[in-house]
Amino acid sequence: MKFKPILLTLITWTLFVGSINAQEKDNILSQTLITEQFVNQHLLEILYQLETNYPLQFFYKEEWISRKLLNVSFDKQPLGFVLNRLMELTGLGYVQYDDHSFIISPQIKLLDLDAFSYQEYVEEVEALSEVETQARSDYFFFIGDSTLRPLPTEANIRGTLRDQDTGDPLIGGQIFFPTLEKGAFSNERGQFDITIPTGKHEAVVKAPGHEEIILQIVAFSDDTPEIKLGYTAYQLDEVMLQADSKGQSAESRQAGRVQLSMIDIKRTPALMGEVDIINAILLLPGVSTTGEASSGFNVRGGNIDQNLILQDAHMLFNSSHLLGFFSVINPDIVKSATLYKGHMPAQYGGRVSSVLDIDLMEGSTRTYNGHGSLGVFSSKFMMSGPIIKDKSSFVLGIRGAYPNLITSNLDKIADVATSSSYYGDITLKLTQRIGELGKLSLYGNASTDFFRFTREFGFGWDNYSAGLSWQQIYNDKLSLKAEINGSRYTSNFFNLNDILGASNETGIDNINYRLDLQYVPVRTHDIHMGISGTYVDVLPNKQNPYGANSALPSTIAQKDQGLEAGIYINDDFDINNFVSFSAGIRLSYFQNMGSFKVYDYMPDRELKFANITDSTIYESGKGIKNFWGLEPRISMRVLVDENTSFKASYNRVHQYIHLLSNTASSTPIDIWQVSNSYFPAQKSDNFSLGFFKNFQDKVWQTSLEVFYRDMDGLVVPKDFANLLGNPHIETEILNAVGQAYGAEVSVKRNFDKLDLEASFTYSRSFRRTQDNLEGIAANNGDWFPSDFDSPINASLSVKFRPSLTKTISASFIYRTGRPITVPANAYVVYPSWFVPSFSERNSFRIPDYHRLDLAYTFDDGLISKRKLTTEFTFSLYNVYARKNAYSVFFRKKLDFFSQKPSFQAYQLAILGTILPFFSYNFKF
Amino acid sequence: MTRNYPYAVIISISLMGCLTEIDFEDKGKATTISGVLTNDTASREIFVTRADGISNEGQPMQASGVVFKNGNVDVELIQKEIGVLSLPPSFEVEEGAIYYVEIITPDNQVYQSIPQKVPPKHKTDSISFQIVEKEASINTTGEIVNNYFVDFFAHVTLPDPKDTVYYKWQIDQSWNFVSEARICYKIRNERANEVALLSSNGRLAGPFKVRIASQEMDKSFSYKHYFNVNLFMIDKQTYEFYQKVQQLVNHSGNLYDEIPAPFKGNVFLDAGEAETVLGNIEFSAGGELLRFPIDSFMINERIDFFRVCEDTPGCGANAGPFDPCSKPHSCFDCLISPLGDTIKWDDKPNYFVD
Repeated sequence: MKFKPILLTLITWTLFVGSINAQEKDNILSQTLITEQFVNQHLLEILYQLETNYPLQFFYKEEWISRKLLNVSFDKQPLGFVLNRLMELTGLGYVQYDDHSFIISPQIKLLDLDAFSYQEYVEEVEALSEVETQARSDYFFFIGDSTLRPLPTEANIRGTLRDQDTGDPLIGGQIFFPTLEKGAFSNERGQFDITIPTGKHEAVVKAPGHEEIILQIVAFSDDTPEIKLGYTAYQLDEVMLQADSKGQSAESRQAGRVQLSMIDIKRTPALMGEVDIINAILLLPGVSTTGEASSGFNVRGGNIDQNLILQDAHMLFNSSHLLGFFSVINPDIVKSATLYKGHMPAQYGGRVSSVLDIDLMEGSTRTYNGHGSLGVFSSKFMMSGPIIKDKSSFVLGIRGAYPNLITSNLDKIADVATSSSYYGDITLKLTQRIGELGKLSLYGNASTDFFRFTREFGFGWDNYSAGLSWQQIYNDKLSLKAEINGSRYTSNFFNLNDILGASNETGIDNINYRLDLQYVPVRTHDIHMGISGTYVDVLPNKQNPYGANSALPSTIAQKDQGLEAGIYINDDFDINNFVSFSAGIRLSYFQNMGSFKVYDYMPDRELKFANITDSTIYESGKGIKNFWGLEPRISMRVLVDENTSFKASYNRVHQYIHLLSNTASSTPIDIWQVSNSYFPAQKSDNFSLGFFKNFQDKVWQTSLEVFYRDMDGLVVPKDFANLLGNPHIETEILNAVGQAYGAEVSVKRNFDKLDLEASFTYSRSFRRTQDNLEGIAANNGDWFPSDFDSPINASLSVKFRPSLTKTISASFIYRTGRPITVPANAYVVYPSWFVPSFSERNSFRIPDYHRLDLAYTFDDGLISKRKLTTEFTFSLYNVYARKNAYSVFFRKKLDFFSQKPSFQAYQLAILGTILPFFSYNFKF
Repeated sequence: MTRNYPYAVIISISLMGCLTEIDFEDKGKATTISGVLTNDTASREIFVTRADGISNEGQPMQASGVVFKNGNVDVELIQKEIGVLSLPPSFEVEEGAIYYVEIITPDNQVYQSIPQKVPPKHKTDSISFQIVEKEASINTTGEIVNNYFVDFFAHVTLPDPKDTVYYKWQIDQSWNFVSEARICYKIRNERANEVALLSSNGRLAGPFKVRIASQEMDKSFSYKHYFNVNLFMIDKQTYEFYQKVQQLVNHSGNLYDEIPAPFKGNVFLDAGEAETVLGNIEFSAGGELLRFPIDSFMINERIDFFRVCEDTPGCGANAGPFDPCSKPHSCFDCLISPLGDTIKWDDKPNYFVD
């Protein structure tokens, strides 16, 4: 390995950095004239006085500041002179961070902090007192062989970005050469590839959630360096970090892959101040939802159950807390999140629409840190740190919301007082290093959720999961990752209405394993191969009558189970500098197993109880029906130049599980159902084509993508389907096919103090039932819009940072109202019913949805007088108080004079007014 | 610490301020044919209307019709008024016989119902009631207001599970009281009558108790209140149709509702065109009527609105064929309160016991 970081002389250090490189900084130092007299004051008082009288800000640790009393006066002296004089008197030094901000520290050789986190800086400064070493910015990287003669004119760098602590590859990182106006992104192996002229160049290296460093690279010839970045606990300047976050770049090899930045998400206006990954995803083009307070999300016309949501490789079967207002993913412990909405690498399978892969962070093996919040509505706490220094670590995240503590005391609002809701979750991750290149992780999570509306109905769910993961890097070509995990998800819906009083329970157990081998034979190939499997056990749907007056019977559906297995290989490879592919193939298999009683129905007749002709009982573990699926995956990128590319992808994916629902929005009472003799395997063929173009040195990034998705093996509920507690649930569904298509436009600006992100999506999503035996097809077998068909989805997100410690952000979203089935006519059914006659399924729409949110965040920046740092966020949700329709319903009303009935449509807005939120978070 | 505005704010705001009326374009027109043909001679009518949107009940249509029994023309329906056809009083609906109806409109469209067999009669073993206190409404300040309700129950003996039967109870109510020296007779508006359904499918044979009505105690209970319980045995198709109707009537339209859908009854356009005919014609075995009077003394301690008026104008005058002054007088205005259709003494049903 030719590359090694060499600490050279301290040539880049600047003592008393009055000579900071930016010209405007010099101007401040020379043009700001100070007239002050300080008598018997120590430096803290002097700095405070300067801040009060001039537009200046100083950052320091209190223990650094000398208590020595000073007597000094200045009369129209330049600021630079004043600071130099003060530093001289106190033995300290300063560095100018931006126009008006200065960092005061012990008198050492300071560095330009533009690229460093404060915490990193503080640690380094403190370390200097013990070890005479250097800061990081003077890393000189020698690339290639300096003995070559003659030296080549260009050097090809195929490097790898890794996490400093864990050695994990950093996905979505970037290396950028400002003077060359060239850069490259790292792929899922952390690898990047760029060709630069030989010679010395400054490079900015960064990755989401990690520090940014500046390297002085001296390139002699081709090389494969490895660069390690530390985790950023507190980001001084997030401008550069956002450059590649959220969105897709022209360089990225895979179409439709979006890397999310937690820093970005945390500064987005949030309901109740609660940062939420799913809500952030909804701002992306191609991602939509059925509405406010609805669970899950829809990607490119897919159902919510068609999204594979992995949290550290654990499948999540319900992604929403509290009616869908919040997600189950605790953002405080997330390291990175990647959404695959187009190309799905062959490593992933089992869901036909998208993959949301969330990696949880690992605890630091050296220092303890944490943060949290306490409140009347919710509280949360996160802590991480070493168990055995440099060997093992932990991360613990706990959240809880308990609005019922307040609402139960609101006697004046009956529906509120008698309603109840809460949620909570706890996640623990332990990591143990095994040698230099291996690690073992243990993960556990428990979540609960409950909601009851007055004394009418309610639902709740619980999820428990645990898993073990082992990663081993054997050499620079071969690494292995083995995972095994399992979970139990149970949900319960209860109706307290006396005649209809009942509780309905359902759930799903699953055990998953995956063995993934990563092999990089040459730098142009990155091969993943492996096997994966899932054992699924659907807990039988049980209905139990509730209360003495319930007219409902006790029922229990059959238990259903199956085993899914997959074998895959995927290669990300480059043909040349311009053309690259991500290609793979996955063979999936699913076996539906007993014990189960399979009913035979009369051929060519509707599946209904009356048409049962026979039945066969399969014993436990015996195979009933097998499914196979061959899934080619390919994505191609053609780089026209560094800022322009075309991408195309095709995927076929199979899914062997369905989420049965006969409501417009997903709810915890939806029932999971594996493919069996009645429920087919879902299959989706996904096509996408994209054009990506960057402007002005990637300050502006634009993209245009079109997609088409063809699905079969879907099921939709029959009209008036009765799913709950139904032992013959197959009689309540219809086989269906689906198609979705659309175009997504995205424009981003990431630069300096202003970030802007806009997206516009036009897309359609349709379903068509295939069964029309005995006239049971929905909408006569014609295509009809899916429940989440929303032709236009648009969003605009703006972030403005007027200073180091302040962020103002705004986001606006617009989407076409979801389809709805409404009464078209009304008539009388003898003797007493005035009945609405509904339109064909989803032939109308609720009003369009749009909303503007604002947020203002400020923190205590670098004035860190103690080890506790704080952050305040004030946000306004729904600024112009749009009464967006949560639902549309109909009520009968009587004419006062004629007493004749009619129906009137009403629109209910849940959050139909402006809502201010304030949050205060602490970190230590 | 996160100081969030509480969840209550959201809910209370949403409950109090965010409900607005909106309109959807009415879509198309549809013929509605609905009725009951049963051996209960009190209710044997078919209504033919043209539905045209959600803002009215539809317009009555001129029509004629015949009833087929076991495939042969049996009887011609009599047009009582436009859009209302009735069975002749002499017509007897037989258990086990198969019937269907043919309706002809002036534009020569012929509508037919699916042939259906009249199920055998069953009986209600008994009826009972229970007074319960439960939520009645939410007042203007958001407080839950409790009140007493009369819950009515039917007791039946379910048959063997292989012989699934379908019950339909139709409950109407009537009451009387003395007001201003005369007796008022009132019948609850037909539209407010309750219908209760029960299927024996999936239930064990034997005694079964099912609630068939629940009526909030109001001024109609101030003297004597009758629950008149009619049992009709219907077939599966009609049972499922009524179930869907109930489902739709109770549909609240929110995200958690089952997805509603257009649905057909048992009447079709004979020409086989794709016109959706709304409504359903019930062929049932009925005629069993159980009447349950509730006297005010049975519930007086639970109601506070009943007041005896000491000074009754006209008392002793000739207010009717008998002297109402011997009975306690309410202070209610006969015409205004309690709500219900007032009927004349001469027209009062003969079951009223004054």
